[in-house]
Amino acid sequence: MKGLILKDLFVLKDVLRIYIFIFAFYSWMALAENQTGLLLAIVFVCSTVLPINALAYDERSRWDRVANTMPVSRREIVMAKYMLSLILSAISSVVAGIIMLAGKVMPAEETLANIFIMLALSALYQAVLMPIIYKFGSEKSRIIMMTAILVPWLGITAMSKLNFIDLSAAIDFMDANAAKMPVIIVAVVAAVYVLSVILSINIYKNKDL
Amino acid sequence: MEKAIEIKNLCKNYPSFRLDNVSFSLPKGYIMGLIGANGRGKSTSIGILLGLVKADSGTCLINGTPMAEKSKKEKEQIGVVLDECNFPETLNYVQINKFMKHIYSNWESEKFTAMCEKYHLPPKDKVMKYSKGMKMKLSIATAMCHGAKVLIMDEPTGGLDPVVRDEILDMLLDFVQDEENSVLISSHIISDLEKVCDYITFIRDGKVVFSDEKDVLTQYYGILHCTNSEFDRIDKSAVISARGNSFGTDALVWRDKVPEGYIVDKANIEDIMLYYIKEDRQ
Repeated sequence: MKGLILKDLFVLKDVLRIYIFIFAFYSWMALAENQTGLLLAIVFVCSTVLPINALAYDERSRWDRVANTMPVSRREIVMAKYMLSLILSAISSVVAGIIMLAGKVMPAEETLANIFIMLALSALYQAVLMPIIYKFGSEKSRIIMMTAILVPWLGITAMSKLNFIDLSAAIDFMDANAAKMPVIIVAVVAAVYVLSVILSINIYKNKDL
Repeated sequence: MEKAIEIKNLCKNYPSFRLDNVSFSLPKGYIMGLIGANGRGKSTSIGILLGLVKADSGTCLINGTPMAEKSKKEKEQIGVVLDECNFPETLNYVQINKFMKHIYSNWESEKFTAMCEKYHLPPKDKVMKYSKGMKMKLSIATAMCHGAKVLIMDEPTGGLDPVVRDEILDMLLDFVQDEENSVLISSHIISDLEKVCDYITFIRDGKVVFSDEKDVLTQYYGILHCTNSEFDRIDKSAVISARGNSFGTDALVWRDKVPEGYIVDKANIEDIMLYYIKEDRQ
């Protein structure tokens, strides 16, 4: 698995350089201008876009055909991609966290909460997207994913605006359980993530390469 | 004789094409050439053998076990060159050398670098800058650097100049000096296969036409040269494929079925394949 992750990091080397530059620029923005939004956004982008880029490069060169003749199992090939996502998430959020804490751009608790939400969102995004990519390929998945985000969002917004559903109940629930929310979020995201790994492995195991 | 590769009754259906009961086997210590027109089953058979594609039915064994059931140690003993170089385009060979160390437990790092240098691959250039021949050299170097005992190569000599092709063929001959080692190689360059192969398997429209020792094949088949009227008198069960004009007829024939008195030349593998394929196109 180490070899596979290392290979992805080499594949992404040039893109990673650009991200480091962007990261540095947004860190400066966060410290000098108190603009933390973009720094948080880059955590999300690092942990979602980069692993998907790696998958797209693999697809273009049909890497999986040769990888599957090597002494690695299909399970390991999928797991390596999830590990890569987790590693990138961890590094980018730790770095962003340290910069925000050190610069005291907002209260420490708020910084941690922001990073936590970003991590949870990006893990959720990875979890939903990965099996779709394994099933349909990265090109089609971009469209599927955009639809998958836009349609429910537009639907819920439209319905709440038209008073078909009442979002205040959900907000009330979150307020009432504010202390428990992190635990609930972690549990939900972890469950979805594990399901996603299992699903991706099963899709990939039955794939003709 | 112990088998390095054994394919039995392999079937796979695609909407436009099917592999139909493909069977052949390669004893350890030998080189087998896989020939046939484009898109007629060679790469699919290799894909199934390597476990990349699932068969509808049939069995494929490499050194006695199917690819899917092999342990990591056993998988290390299989060197593969596919019809295209499958390394992501943004890598260079120095990086490939670094991560392969962690994939193959017996990766021969120095040998890999030496081979890449010998093939004049630039260490800093990304795969995307490589020519087709350079990509092939990279794949071959990769396949040769982890102590493989079975080499499975799909069109490895495509895009290579004659000198390098010759070097690679010599390398294969050298490889099977060890009787435990075997090679399955598909190619369109029949002269390459004639040079090194002990066995030839011809796949045509998803079916095996023949799979036999090269020397035996050239004994079975012959090229008949005769006038059109002589040709008309021959029993047509002796004729596999013929092409004629007003001056006479040339035909691929079963040597033993042609009556004495006719001129029958030795057929080489290229003749055999060309006559079969032209028969299809007519």
